[in-house]
Amino acid sequence: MKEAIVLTNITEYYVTDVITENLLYKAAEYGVGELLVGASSIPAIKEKAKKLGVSLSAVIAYPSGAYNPDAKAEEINELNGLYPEIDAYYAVVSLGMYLSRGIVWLNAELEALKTASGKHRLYIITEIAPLLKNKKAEEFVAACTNFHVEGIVVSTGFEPYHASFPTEADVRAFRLISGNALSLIGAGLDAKTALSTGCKKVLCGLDVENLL
Amino acid sequence: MFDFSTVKDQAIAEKVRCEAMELVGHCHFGLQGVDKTEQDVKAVVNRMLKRGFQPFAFDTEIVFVPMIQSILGSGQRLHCAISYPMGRMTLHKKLADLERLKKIGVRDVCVVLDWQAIFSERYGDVEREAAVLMKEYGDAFDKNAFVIPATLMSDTAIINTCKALDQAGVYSVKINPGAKLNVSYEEIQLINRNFPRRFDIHPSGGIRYLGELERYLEMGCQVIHTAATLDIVEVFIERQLKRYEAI
Repeated sequence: MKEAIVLTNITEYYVTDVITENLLYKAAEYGVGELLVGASSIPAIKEKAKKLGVSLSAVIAYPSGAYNPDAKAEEINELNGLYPEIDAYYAVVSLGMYLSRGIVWLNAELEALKTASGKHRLYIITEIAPLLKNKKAEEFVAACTNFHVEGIVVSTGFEPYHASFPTEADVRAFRLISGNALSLIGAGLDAKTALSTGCKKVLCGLDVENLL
Repeated sequence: MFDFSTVKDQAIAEKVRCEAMELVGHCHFGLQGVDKTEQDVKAVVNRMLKRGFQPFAFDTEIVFVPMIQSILGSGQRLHCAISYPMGRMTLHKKLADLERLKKIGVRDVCVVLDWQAIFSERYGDVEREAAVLMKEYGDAFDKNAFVIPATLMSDTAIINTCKALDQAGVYSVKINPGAKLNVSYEEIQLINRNFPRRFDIHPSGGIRYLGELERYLEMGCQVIHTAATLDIVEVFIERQLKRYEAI
């Protein structure tokens, strides 16, 4: 189970240095290998993470994703320079602009993100429920596959934005479309449900004990 | 939508219409969210145009700015938020985004400070971040408000944060980002008591009724964020017309 967990604080409003450190210690205690945080959390934990052998991942354009591709690439490029400790990037795509402008917009985003992230693993965060509703899931998965994205996080998990979080049926349907080409990471729904419906990993907060 | 042509006394109708314009002139509203499309944003813009009221600023995301400008022109002030809603981007990134907004003609911004620094009581870091942002972009916009998550803070933390912003030369503060963090009268009173006439305070989050909007205006707030602006103004119009015995 521990291999399936990505510990994170990104969905929480109230985050302190101490809370972030505790998350890191929990990752080390439970043998969870990956911690996903925002840029402002990295200084408080980067050295300890290295000592504890916990991999650091950074979230980009969270939670709205409503930025132009060059702005997201710039964010990654800056973090590449500041924190060589980062192993992977989780970028929120501009779902609203993709649904408005179509595949040309999405390809431009993915190209910018992939180029900037270089050798780092790149995960895409989106809301799969609107993708399925708008019959865009196949196209979205194909684009992510073309750009060698590592996996797709099925929801931002950010409740205040009133986005429609995925249901169990949504994840199952998306899993059928994504096949084995991309790994899915659960968020925005119960972690155990996400894992049972085909997500390879799940985002999890300080309540990680409930899952282990 | 109230039809002013139905009012018998057109002088009163015009007076109330002007009062309603003034009320909306204090308000911010718009549309944001992860799955909001250009069509969704256009629908809100068109609703605003149909009503004929001009808010203090129309709130949007940077990706929608060119589209909105093509509809509204440069007359309507647009507002975008930087590092919204939790302020987790680096200072360098916040500065770069401010430059982008300035270049495309956005005139009203709010910058979300590093909340992890605020919640961790690193007020020196809060002051340093705000001071750099003020030095570089303090005069670049009509309004440049700094967002404080007051609802999640103790009174002492709010006061200490405001002290840091005072030292940094900040003028406008947005109290809460919205997004389910809702302002309260007590938070505004606390800041007013401890920093009388020091800050231009923008309450945000959960303001849904005319009475609430008017209470914040009475407290001296001149800019108020409420997604319910166009509903509130309808209530206001009806109340004023009744008050003047015109309906």
